[in-house]
Amino acid sequence: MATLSPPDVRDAPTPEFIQTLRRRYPIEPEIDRLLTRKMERRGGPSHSMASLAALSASLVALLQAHLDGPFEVSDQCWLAGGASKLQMRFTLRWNEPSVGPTTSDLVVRMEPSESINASSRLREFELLRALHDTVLVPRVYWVDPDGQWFPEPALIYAFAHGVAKPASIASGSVTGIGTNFGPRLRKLLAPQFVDDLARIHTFDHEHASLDSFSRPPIGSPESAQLQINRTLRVWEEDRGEEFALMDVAANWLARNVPLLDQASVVHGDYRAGNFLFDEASGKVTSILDWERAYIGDRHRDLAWSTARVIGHMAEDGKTYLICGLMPIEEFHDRYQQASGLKIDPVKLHFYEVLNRYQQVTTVLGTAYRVVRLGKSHQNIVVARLQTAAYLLAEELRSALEEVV
Amino acid sequence: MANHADNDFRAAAKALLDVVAPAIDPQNPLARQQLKLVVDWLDFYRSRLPYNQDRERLELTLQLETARAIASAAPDAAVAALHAAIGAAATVHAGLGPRPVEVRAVTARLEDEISAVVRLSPGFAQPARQSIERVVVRDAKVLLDAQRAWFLPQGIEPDPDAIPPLDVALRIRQPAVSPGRPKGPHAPVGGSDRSELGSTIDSPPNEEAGP
Repeated sequence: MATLSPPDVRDAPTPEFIQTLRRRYPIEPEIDRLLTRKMERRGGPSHSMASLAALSASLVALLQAHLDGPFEVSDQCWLAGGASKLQMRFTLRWNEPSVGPTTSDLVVRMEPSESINASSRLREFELLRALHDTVLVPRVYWVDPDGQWFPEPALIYAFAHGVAKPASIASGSVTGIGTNFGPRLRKLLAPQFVDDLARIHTFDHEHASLDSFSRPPIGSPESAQLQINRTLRVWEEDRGEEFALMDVAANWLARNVPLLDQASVVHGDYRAGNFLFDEASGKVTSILDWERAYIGDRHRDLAWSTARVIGHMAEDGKTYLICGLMPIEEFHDRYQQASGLKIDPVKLHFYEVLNRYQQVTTVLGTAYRVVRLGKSHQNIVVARLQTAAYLLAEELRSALEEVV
Repeated sequence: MANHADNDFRAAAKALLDVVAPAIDPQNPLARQQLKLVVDWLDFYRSRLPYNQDRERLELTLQLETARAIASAAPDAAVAALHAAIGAAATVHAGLGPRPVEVRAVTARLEDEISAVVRLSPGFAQPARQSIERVVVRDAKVLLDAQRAWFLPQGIEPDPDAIPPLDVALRIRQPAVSPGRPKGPHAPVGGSDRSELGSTIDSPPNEEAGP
């Protein structure tokens, strides 16, 4: 049967193609390792759904390698949803060092064959461990960074309790997509959202054990350049079609690389849907999904949280609420007060362009390739992400219209 | 910005086969049978997508041939209405363009070559580079509006009223003079409730969603 989309080199990349992109777009070593691995494995089979039994066997093997005493794994079940990682919840009864007999409610978080975000479980593990006393994050236990025990790289951490969106509000109740918290929760959550971001950005990472992270020099464009290279490389690796707006954006980004004034831990996906809260008290219980974290410019997070696809209009029909929480001016004012850090509007605009470029890359480029090759356990969810591509592309276009 | 419907049909069928099928009660043969029928049906329509307009074109061609033959065989008094219908159909038939597959191929080639020039443009004189970038940014809006109108029922837009109706966005119809979304037959099919997407792009407590 004829197809509208004949195979191209990106379906089964040659070593020359992979090496050309590696040379053209130098990036952080850990990210280079992940993207190279992705491309080298791309020509392989599509994702095959692991059974609970198979994943449990991998889990037991990992635990046997890490625990001295007896243990019992039970209550395994899949966690549904999400577009990126496969997750299995389970109960572990074990003799926890320095604690004694313990029953833990845990989650295995594992890559599919190819994710919409090629990201590092090792980095996620290191960062969650480092930030444990700074913000509320799930406690991490073990990591399998190269898929030694599991079929793919995996992380084991505590199940985080709470909800990502209010159960009581039906309209606009999509996690991460126009989440409507309602006026009561909005008032309670907005200050915590800002304060937590300020804590993340002012965290003393220099004394933390973050060995898989690169530490970019202050006063240099290197940090921003590495992020440009990363997203340009992913667009080159994954896209199914040309899109001249992306080329204009790439040109503009290359002409406007900002210097780094302070190196912060950047969450990378800081938004509604990626924190949990207790619906009754309105208290944040956990900040999740650190897979895109890096050390770099805080403006990256600040510009990320304001994407229109993750906010909505207030009840007055006029005021746009970033992440469904607060107007953008209030977000910026609160952030500067809480962190003591300035917001530079020029850098903010640069990261708005870079973020939208990256988001379009993910939902129009990577999502297309992952679905085309059947690489994810969530192909249908990934396929539907394209519905956000054109709103994000319009945001990119609007951001460029002001400056080209 | 190609139509990825082929990809989407594959994803839907794979989700049913890989994830839903193993979860169906083996003691429910009706559910298992219907799941297979749905998967086959999706695959069937995926395979036929590139030929959808060919099918309609052929039907028009054949009906036109039949109508002309009948018009020439029947008494004139009996075929006045048929002649009118033939005239209208012949006009449409004459205006049919190339096959959709060819349309996609030449469009993709244009996209490739436009992107190639934009990538070279940093080496051009500044006015030329700037003109090229401004054209791309300006012209992208029309296509992005059309894509956003296409996907509007998926509920992703924070301000659905800002999106043109699908038939206007696709240039089937001129926009109305007064602003606002039309009601009735020209309104886009389906609603625009952002919560509709929740059935698939939604997160449990420990997972991410969205881009």
